[in-house]
Amino acid sequence: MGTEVLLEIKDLSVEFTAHQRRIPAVRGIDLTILPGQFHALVGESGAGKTVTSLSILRLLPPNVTSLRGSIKFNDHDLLQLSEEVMRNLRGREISMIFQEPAKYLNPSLKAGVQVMESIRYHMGYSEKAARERVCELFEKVGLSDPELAIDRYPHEFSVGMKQRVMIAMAISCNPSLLIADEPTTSLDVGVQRQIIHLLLDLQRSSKMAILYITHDLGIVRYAADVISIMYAGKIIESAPKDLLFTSPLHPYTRLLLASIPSREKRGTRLQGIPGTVPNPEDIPPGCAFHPRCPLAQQKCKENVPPLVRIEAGHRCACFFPGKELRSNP
Amino acid sequence: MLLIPTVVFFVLRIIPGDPALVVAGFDAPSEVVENLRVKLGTHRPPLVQYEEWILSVAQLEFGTSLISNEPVLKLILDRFPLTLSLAVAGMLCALLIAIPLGVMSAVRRWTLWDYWGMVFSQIGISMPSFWLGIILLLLFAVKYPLFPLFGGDSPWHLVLPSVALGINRGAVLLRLVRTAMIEELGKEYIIAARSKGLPELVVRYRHALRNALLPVLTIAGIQFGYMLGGAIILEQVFSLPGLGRLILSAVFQRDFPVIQGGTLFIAAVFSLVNFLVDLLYSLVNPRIRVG
Repeated sequence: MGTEVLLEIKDLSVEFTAHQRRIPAVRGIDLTILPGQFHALVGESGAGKTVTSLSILRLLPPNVTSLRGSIKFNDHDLLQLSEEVMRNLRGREISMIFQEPAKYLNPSLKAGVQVMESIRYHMGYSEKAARERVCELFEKVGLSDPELAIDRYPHEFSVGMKQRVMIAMAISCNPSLLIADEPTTSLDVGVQRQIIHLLLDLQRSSKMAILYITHDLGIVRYAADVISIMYAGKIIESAPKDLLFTSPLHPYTRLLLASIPSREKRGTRLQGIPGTVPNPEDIPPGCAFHPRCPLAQQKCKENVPPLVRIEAGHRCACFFPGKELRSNP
Repeated sequence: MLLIPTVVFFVLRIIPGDPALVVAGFDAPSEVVENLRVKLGTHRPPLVQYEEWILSVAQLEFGTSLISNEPVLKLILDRFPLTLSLAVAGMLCALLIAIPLGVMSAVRRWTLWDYWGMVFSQIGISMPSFWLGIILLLLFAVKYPLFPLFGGDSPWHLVLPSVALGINRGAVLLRLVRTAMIEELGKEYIIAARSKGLPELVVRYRHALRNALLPVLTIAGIQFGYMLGGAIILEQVFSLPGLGRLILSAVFQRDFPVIQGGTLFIAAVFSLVNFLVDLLYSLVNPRIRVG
């Protein structure tokens, strides 16, 4: 893999305006994805994960009033590209799958047609060649009877199958980055596992990088190479998976890990995190996590802790990284 | 479908005006008129007449015109093609206006473009099509004689009336297209379509419009039904020998069989069109599929 970087987000901030109020959804994040890497972006809902992913594709809704920073993809700043060039990247170099496949598939177009579109548009395939390619793709994502599936409408598939159609759509042009925005959240547990395995297989066989967005640390436990934790529009900790699970530094990460049910914790009461995620409209000053943090000091209320490198590949934004948590304050 | 002709039947019996008197002439001797009444059957009680009429209609027997003595069905079928082509051309015009302008308004909503679209739609809705027809005639047939003034023998004759009809109906459909498009463009599958890198035109017309047209289609079908029967005054303005004019002159002449047959025919066509629209709907919307 070397040291080349596929995607490098620097100091990205995104602000919405709604009802004449400015809502900072993303407040200056840095994120780096290497080619072929499985990068998980974890956070509770409202942390800014989806906004981050939509900024990469430049598909943010029109009420975004401020978009700053840079998103470098293969040395091009995506935020500076013309719409024309950007459109050529979408679906071809960077593609995306979504949380609820039922809503993200066009109800009145056949599954095959929807997958074919990008192949024909980006790679100039003929109708016949595109059809063959769709059959291949459907087989690859585990849809039985690809020939029949091509002519089915989305409502004729189960949710899991719809997600497979979406995946086929997303990987149709062999993108180098796949953004997966909670692709398993609306699925049954068994199907979740299948989809994750499918994504892993695809990542390995085609050297595609994946930015996997989820609120569920448990689900990326075995899949991710690197995990970044987001809280209130900022990345608060980022580390290779093993490091994050064995020596988490940020109190929020540690509380998150404690809230995952596991075999070792059987019989004990699962820990939750007190309080709720701050509303993006009024994020607390200083460290956004301080009202819920068992370690919070005066310093945390006044100053924003920067995301600093603690050791190789491990970054954390806390004034007291790794300090022992009192279990029951 | 039977309701309208039934109402028409009894209204004809109630309103003043005696077909026998019209046929015989107003100064004819009263015995002649009385004989004619017996011959036409209008001397009997309305309910008896109604029974007889329904029975003959059930055998597809519409009677003959009191004035010209021609079979009513032949009169109707002679006139119907013109009315049908006017309705088809009018609908085409309406869709040609409504779809691009509606999409434009939806895509650029709350901008100047959208406001112009809405202003146009408001004017189009408020302007009666016969008045617009007169204006069009004055402009493009009298002042600049590009189109013929009256008659209905060539396609050229249909241009102005169908434009008048199309602007009026299209103005209504435009709002519908706009609302439906705004709704569809806000849906998630649009983001997915954009994330595939499709050009905006494909996203709009292939993805959004396909779904937006479903509600529009229903209304357009109903409007098409109205056009088949409702272009009466427009046919008068443009002197088009269509079904509307046939019925209108029949009303003036108290030609009962023609009026009754004509309204029944229009009601039947109206129902048929609605039925076809339902079929078409299931064809366009894969989620409603019969069998």
